Amino acid sequence: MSFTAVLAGNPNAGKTTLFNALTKSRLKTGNFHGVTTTPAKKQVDGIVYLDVPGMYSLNSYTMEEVSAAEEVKRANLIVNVVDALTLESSLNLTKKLISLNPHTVVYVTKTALLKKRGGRVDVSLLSKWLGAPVFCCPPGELKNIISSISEHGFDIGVEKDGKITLDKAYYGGNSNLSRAERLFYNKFFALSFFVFSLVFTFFITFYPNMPGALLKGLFSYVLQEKPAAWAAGVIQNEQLKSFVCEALIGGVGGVLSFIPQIALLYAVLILLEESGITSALTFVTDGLFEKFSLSGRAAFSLISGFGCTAAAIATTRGYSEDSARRRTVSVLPFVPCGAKTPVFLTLLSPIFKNPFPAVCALYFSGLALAVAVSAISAAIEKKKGGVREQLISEITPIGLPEIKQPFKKLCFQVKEFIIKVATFVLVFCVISWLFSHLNFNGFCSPQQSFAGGISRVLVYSFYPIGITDWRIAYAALTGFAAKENVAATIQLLIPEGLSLSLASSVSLCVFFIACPACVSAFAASVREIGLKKTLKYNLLQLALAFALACATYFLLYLI
Amino acid sequence: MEVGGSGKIISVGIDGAAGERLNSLGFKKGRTVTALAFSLFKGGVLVAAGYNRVALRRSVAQKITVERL
Repeated sequence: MSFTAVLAGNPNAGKTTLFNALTKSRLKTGNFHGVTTTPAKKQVDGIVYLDVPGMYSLNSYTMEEVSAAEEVKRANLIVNVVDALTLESSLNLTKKLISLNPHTVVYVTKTALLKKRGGRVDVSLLSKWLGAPVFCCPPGELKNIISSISEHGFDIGVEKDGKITLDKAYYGGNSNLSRAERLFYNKFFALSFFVFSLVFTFFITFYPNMPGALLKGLFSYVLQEKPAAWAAGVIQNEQLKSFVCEALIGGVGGVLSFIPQIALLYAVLILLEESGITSALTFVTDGLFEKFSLSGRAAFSLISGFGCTAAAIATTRGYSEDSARRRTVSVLPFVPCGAKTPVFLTLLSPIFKNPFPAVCALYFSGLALAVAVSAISAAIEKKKGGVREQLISEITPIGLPEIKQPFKKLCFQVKEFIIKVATFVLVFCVISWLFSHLNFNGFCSPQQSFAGGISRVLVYSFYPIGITDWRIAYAALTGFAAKENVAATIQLLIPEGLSLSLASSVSLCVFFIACPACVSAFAASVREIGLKKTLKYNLLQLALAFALACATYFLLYLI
Repeated sequence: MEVGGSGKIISVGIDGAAGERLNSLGFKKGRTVTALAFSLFKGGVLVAAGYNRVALRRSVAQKITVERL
């Protein structure tokens, strides 16, 4: 049986950062309490390292703590990761872990920040005070210690010294609020800053001649226009030419050309989280979310939704009430994720020379729709006597993050996007191309293909918003697998570009805001709230998407 | 308590897992806590308990009895 070392500790102590260093992994980290929502496992040199969600006690206040406590009880060795900034209160859990499993070592993190605020920790004295080995060393050194324990047994036990007091071993330094913290804990400033940073991001991302739009143009030229022109000149066979130019270069290259704009959006979300501003927002907005029977933690889930809906759904594990978790999961698909950016731009660019105001409006409408639907369902639940989600949450200190960590996270997220497009979207484009160029008799025109046949029926549901082109109905259908597919399919099937009216384009965007998210989000939702409820919410979202799209079309038609 | 005001905890009237979480975060009898800020609509309060900064819903905070300092 392999040796299991469990990394356990309070939320935001740095367990996942340590896990990544010990196992050379790239799990999601963040400066927020509750980033890790499910245990992660990796075997290195015969040792199984297990990263568990943060916990304050062995009692089950949230779903995360339940899974963490179960793993801790089964461990051969517990590595209790302790944040030096809040070490005093973290020791409550440390003592419980030691009494549960004497094979526990303590690893202190964030000592540089402690030193910066004038604090100190003496690991030797702390070891004697606790009666357990305490380390504050580079991860590589800790790895050697764990390896030695797995080979020779736990022979590094420390005798408890009753004469030592905690204040000799630890001093937390100056705990006063910094100037930045005083600003960001002010509800008006924090909210204004958040809205301003989003608008500013959209401006530099979508406004003509701004870095996002300029880089998009460059990426389009390099990844789409130039290779397509070259392939069209070289390939003689019409079908092969269509496959390479439309499916591979048009579909995949077209979506990849949105990398600069998606990266800018991700960069701001990462900086907000790493600097502690997202954490401050969970507190500041709590009074608002209380009106919808949610807590400020919903702010973190909704902001995460701008990045990826599936990841945002996983953040609801930190909620203490099932009803609040259910409601948040049900509204998260309304928050436009990064993958919807190419969809909006593909639909709006032919209509607006400057898509910035429209994209901005769509993002904020998505957020407003999520909050509005949550408010309605909270009101219905309240009548039924539902329980309110409470807020008891640590808030991270605010400060400028080091450049290295956010940059690494950004590179990782962009890499994940590229991998997804180069694998999932590529396969989907190939299937879509075949599906739209084949029928039972072999190769045919797209109009007579399988996709054409099915979508000519499907397109009737889009007639109320003025869409009669089966290719757009087919693109909408592919979006249920991944939203990136919508843009890829439009580029593939309509290489000449869209020619929709303003009302139809905007209504279709509204449809994509409100419609169910992708299969990854569906799977995440099933994990959190079950299949039955997920299906129910997906059907309601689809109905709402059609209703809102029709209403938008009608209003724009009147104007 | 107003922003900047401090008090010594007399009792924490919350049981179960939520009570244990508060205990873990430093909300214990005799501990001094300070109100740092209020959230929108004064629905929540940010409290410093030792070196921890903890956001509490008003209804939770109201169950913690303090003696003003």
